Amino acid sequence: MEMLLQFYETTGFASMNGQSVLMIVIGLVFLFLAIRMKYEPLLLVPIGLGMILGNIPYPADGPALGSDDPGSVFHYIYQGVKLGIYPPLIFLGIGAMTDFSSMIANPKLILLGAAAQIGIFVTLIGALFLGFEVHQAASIAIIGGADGPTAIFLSSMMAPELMGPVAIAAYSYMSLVPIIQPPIMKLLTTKKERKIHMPPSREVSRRELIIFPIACVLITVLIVPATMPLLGMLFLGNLLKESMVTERLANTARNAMIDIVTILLGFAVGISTHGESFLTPSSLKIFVLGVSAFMLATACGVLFAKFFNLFLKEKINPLLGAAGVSAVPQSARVVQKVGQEADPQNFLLMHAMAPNVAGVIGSAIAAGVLLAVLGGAPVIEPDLDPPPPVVAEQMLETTTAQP
Amino acid sequence: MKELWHNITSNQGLELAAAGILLVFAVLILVSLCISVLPKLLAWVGPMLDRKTQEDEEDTLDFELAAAAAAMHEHLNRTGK
Repeated sequence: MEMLLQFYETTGFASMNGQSVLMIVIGLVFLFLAIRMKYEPLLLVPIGLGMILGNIPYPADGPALGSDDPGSVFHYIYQGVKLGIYPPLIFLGIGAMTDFSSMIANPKLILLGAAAQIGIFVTLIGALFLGFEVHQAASIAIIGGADGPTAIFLSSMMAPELMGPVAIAAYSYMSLVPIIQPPIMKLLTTKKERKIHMPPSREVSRRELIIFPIACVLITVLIVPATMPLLGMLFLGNLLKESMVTERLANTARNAMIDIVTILLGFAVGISTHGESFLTPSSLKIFVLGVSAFMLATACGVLFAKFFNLFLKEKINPLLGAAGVSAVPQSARVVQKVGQEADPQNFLLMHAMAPNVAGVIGSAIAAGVLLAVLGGAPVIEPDLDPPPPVVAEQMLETTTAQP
Repeated sequence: MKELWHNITSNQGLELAAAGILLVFAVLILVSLCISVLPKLLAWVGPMLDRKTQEDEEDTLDFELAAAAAAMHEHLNRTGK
């Protein structure tokens, strides 16, 4: 009986509290949203289950289990986020699957991708206004870039304590793009503007596709070296794809590798999101600021396209500005849908991909600028501590027990 | 309210936002310009590259023909046909 009681003390039920229960419920809600509603399932399933596991209490004097306990497997998985390893690897995969030809064919649409990043910097001011410290404000503002890996990368560098809510806000709002964007797009454009047809894009040669990642990486990284981990990997992935001589590598980067890293990234974010840091008024502010950032980014893109039209002979459809929010390809699909509501013969998808992929580059540049200016990148030594004695002994026993 | 506004000014929030927007635009304008001149640049450099590639292809073709002929010759020798 005493042994059973002793065992009970080691179970999760013994030290369960209200905070843990609430976090487990939130994890279950994420799983429901991902599986039933199909909201960003690739990310929300690992985040949701990670969140449940990360908030199950366990005795402090037992074996190392959590992401904060050196020796635990989850601790080492979490290092990929903490040291900023996973987001660049995701960018490598994105690069290997992205076709930049629509952007190369119509370079002026790149500016729409830049305009949508204004939302990031306006949100930065909003976050400072709500009392956040400047590094935290930068981490929150990057949600407006609508780029999950960039948001995780920047927050892991600048405000790791906010990484959970920032990542969850970024991915949740990315899945809500079809709900957030259309009202703003319709509010800021007339039906006549939404009906504007775009001329067919020119064909892009193989040489242009090969030279583009090389030229682009040189320009961006030379001006903002802090973007190197993200954009360096993005363009490496794209070069693997476009060079046509490394098809095997490109295939691995855009399929197996990105899937593996997505699982690890989502799970690591989930398991490191604990109640004490997540269930705070700050998280609520982050969610409000996050949705404002998305709305502002959409509005800035659309308004800039209208402003741009003042100087253009051949007008562009201002809806394309909304695709500057780099949620690829959701925001481009939204542009297509809203455009076709005004005119069923209007096909904007391929044109919208230009500001869409420019937005990916733009948000990475914005993150690099914030990192460079604020200098918030603390030097983090790899936290690969030796396992605690209990685990070491267990490992020794297992090793010696083998024939 | 004054304190919150102070949080923006003390952190140089407005300057940071303005500089950020400016830099993002500057870099993407440069990228855009670079892409715009790329077709013209390739129209100038392209023929030279094409000539080189064609020569390479011709070389490769000769080499491949020679290799195929050698293989055929050896096969005929071995089979006696």
